[in-house]
Amino acid sequence: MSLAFLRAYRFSKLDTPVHRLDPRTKLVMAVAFTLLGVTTLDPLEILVLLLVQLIILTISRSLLMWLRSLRALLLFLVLILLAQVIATGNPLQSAFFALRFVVVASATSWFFFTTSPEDLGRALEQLGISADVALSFTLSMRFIPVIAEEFQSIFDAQRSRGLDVGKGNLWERTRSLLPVLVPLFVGVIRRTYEIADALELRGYGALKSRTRWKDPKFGRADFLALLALVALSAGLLYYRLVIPPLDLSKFATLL
Amino acid sequence: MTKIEILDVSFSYEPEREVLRQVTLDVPVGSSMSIMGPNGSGKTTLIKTFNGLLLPTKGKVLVDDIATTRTSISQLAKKVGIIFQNPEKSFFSETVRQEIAFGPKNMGFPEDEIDAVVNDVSVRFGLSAYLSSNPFDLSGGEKRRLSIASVLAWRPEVVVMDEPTVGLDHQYRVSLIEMLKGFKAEGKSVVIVTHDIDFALLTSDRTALMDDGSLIWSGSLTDLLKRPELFARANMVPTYLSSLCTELLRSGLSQDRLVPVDLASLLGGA
Repeated sequence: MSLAFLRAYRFSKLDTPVHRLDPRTKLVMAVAFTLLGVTTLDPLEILVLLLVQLIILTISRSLLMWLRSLRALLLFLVLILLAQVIATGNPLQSAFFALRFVVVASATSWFFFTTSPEDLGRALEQLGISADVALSFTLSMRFIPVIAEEFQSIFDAQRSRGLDVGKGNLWERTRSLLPVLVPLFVGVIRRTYEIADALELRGYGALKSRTRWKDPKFGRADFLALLALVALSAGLLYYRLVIPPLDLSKFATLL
Repeated sequence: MTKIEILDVSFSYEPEREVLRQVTLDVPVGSSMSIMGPNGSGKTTLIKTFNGLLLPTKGKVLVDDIATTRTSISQLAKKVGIIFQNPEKSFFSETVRQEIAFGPKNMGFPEDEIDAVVNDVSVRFGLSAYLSSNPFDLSGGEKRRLSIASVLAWRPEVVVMDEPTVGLDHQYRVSLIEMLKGFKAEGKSVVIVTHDIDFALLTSDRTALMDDGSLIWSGSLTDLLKRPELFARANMVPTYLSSLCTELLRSGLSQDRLVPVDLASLLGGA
């Protein structure tokens, strides 16, 4: 058992056109891809959404990281595929269903690969969310990989003391995780107090309004990216509402 | 008694980045070895291969001639007890007694034997007065003693400690040196991961130096002291004590007198 896959969503500091986009633009794009992905079962729409995101991943030099994050989701993909094959009896339709999961997961992946938690926090503040909530969100994002590492080190320590989580039924397996989860939560709670103290010691909250070292700026590239997103969404919605969808059952008989 | 052989072991967490590179090393029965090197040199990764927590991507690790790939972690843990850095972070029980008993229970000790080993190690580590206390209420030194006691409870034949001196005061450091000497006297093998050169001098008779995932040198402590330039290769700075030992050897002091126990008495370190 490993939470190493959480590390796959870590921001990497690169200088690419996608990294330079305003975080708000990327947030809108990621939400749009997610919504377009979850509301369709049409193979063509799924392929188009995947292709566009592959282009974004290539431009942002994150393709390898994306593949690594997918490897961690492989089990879920296989489970979705199997469940769909059993439910529908159509392997091709089931494959596209699993691919839809990849489309939705990818929107989250490239967003976090290319957006630093600080930029995201600033963007949230500019969207009118309170500074405290934005900071909490930013810290949570930043600490996901840290907590994953902490989990791994506690898990290793307990396995070195003979803990075996692979034995018994589901209840027994869940119970056997207690020696890992208790110290993890104790550590997380302790860490939150330490962070709160460190923030106060460095003057956080001393003034009602805060100055910022750098504000995200909405530029020409953002405008073009959003324009492309609107065009893509409009095209997909036109296809969805006006043109009849592909009938995969015809293809399924060929398999 | 248990021996560990590391044969041409490489390991990588990610395909393109090797954390261990063709490491070959052995931990003979009854030996005391320190593994030193800078941060990120692969020391902790190496000891995680001793009990199968990590399996080599190339090469093999043999514990009593059995490859770690062919047995379970819990079987290996019976022989190789690893105490990780900041071990008190993995406490979870309500009482010190339960915390010590956790390992022996997992190892399948019968109930009456568990009581016996809990009482035995709690006396040895000065914890018998705290058996009903909550582990989180102990002081820093007591917590560290508990973490060591909770691994030694099932009497592993090889004791591996990762950075045992981090955050410890002088008094506990001295008692730790005594404890390690005691293990050696019992015939246990001891492996210490550290970048504390002085602590290694006082506790080990063999040393392995690592840098960037590779074993750059291994041998006896006295050989290392005769070649202080090796410290630089491992990105370490010789300490006053290690430099003094180097000078003593150069001025003709018999290397037999420079075994850890004599060294400690010679320099009043323990």
